[in-house]
Amino acid sequence: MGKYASMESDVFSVFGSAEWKAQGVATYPSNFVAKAAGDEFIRVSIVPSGTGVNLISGSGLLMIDVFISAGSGPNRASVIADKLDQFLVGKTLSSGAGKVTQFSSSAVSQSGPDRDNPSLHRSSYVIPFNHYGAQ
Amino acid sequence: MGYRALINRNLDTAFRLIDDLAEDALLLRSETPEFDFSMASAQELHLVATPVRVFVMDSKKSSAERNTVKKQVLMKTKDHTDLTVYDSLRIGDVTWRFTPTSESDGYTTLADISREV
Repeated sequence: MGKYASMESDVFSVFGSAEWKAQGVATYPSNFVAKAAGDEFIRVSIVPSGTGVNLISGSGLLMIDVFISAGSGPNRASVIADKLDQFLVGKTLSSGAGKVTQFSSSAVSQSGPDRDNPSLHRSSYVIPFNHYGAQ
Repeated sequence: MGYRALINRNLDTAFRLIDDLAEDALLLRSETPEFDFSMASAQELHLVATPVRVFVMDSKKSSAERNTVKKQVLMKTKDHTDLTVYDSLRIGDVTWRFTPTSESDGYTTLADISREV
């Protein structure tokens, strides 16, 4: 498994886990158009934009769009961000074969009404990561 | 008869009058539209097909670097109610993907479809 697939596998392992599913937050990856997604869901995008300590390592950002009902205040987005923190901040994930992905601390910004559906409010949850592959 | 029924009846007549300019097609959608993070893939287990009549308004290939063909098709809105649940449109033996944009006036729907050839 290459480094990009390995990063993706590590991140997806979080959102495929029974523990995350038990949080009750509908979760979709980028480039997937959910049908009947409702008015609360998150969209996960992996942006492996940085270099790593060796040729098969890398770094980047995990960017998660948090969609909630517009006009309902910021609290629900904060609650979802806290749930994401529980699963990601400071965590080390491994897809095996000596490859690990380490997350640091997160940040949240309020992006305002969603461009495609203004009845939804979008917040952006961002957390940097480093991915290490053993040569 | 109300105006809505009158318009829909005239639409039926219009689609009948254009005869073979309109084509039989199938709207296709997956029945289980979830993403499986464990498998890193979308679950598309069952395809549901809805028959519609479509009139191809326009067909173009606009890029010199890609063999992408785009078409604009007109169909009766009452045949599908909500286009957003569908993934693709099969006309004859060829399957086209819906692009993210479409527009409807409540009676007719203009949808953009595309595929790589």
